[in-house]
Amino acid sequence: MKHRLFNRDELKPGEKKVVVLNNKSILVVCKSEGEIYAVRNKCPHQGAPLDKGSFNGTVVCSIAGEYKYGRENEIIRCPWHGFEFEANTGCAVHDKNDKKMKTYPVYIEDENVIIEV
Amino acid sequence: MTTNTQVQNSKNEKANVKQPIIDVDVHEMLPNLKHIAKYLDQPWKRWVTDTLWGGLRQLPYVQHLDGGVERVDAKPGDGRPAGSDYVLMKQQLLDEYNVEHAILTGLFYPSTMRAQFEFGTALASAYNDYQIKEWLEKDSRFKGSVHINCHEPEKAAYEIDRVGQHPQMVQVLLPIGDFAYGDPRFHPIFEAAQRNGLHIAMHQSTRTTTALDNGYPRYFIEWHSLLPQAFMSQVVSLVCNGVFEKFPNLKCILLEGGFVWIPALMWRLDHNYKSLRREVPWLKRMPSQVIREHFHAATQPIEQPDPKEMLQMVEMIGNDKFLLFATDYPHWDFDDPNTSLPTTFSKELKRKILYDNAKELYGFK
Repeated sequence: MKHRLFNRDELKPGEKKVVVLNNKSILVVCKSEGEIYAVRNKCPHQGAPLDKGSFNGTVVCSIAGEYKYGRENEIIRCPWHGFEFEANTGCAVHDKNDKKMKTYPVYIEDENVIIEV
Repeated sequence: MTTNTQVQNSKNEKANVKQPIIDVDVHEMLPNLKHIAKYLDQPWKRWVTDTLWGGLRQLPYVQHLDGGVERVDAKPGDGRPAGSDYVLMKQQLLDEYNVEHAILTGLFYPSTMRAQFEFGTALASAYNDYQIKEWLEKDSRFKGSVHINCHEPEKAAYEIDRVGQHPQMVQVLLPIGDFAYGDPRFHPIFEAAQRNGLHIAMHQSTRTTTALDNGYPRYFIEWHSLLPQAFMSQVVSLVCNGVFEKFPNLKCILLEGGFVWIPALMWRLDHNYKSLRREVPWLKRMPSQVIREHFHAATQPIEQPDPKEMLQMVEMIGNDKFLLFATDYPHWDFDDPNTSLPTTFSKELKRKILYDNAKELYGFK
């Protein structure tokens, strides 16, 4: 079922919001203009509320001793154990085959952010 | 069909745990360093209030998670550390998870000091008074740990006698450092603990070291992953120095060192005992038997391998009373009682770990 969440102007790049649909808490994040993702607001590891954690970038893989920061506005980080997940795929950064965040399709329609749950 | 939706505040949707739990590792914190001065006499009070004393030993690492050493959502938000606010702890832990008893372990460990041990002994005593007045007396669900400065063992024994009879005190807290607690110089501590009907709990500390390079490897992930080394060392030290032969009523609870290494250590110790027994003739039982009968381990931080393999590790310990559940609230590697235990653990085993084992060990009514 589709639900209208809010106007696209209400969530800017780098920001996050929580909505509750069908009794489920859902975290909505904005990577860039028009690029919005939605995930279940519950870490697949031990169930921590992901909205209490951060949404920004991370240190990307590199050679030993080198630190490169990147993937700004792509990574959701759990407030408890620090697990990092890709907002668009739900996959864990440490291992794509480990437990994923549940994701929901989101798109823009007539300036409205629409989610399918 | 599209519906309009109001943006709402998120809410933790975990179902309430009906099973009451006993949490054996909860970290109450001082609101700030100078607060301890309230419980110190002179000259120590001025050492805290009038100098640039920066507190006890720190780790040489940045704990680089978003909340540092703390769960992000456990911070009170006013600059005080997570774990310093009773109301928040009550809400996020005691009431949230139906905690029947929470054993306080603090994080203020004078035994990590390398000098000025008289000051350390005074700090330990002051901390016990703080713990009693501002935590134990606030909520009967709390149980306490007697803190000491282990580097003055005779005075530590005196401190255990001083506060050990408080009805909510259940154990003596020994921070794990680069010194072996089995050494006879520490035995007055065990004697006093047994005399007062208290157990011993060992917790990792900023002075817990690993095997290489002055004890602190290059990265925090290395240090944190290697903590079991130090726990293994202490278990071996206590067993081989005959602590439990001298003090047969004593039990030792291992906090935050994990437990999956226990079977392998038992095997190796037993193997060596068969050849080398005459070096430690006071050890009259197989080391594995001593470990099973006198040690317990907190589950946190519980690893999450294949659940079948985790069950096998627990079965290899050979004592279903061995494990005690801990959350380690309010730290970043907190374990949730609803979701952290493997699915392969039976309802009975979970109940033992979450509640029965600690209740029996500590004699809670």
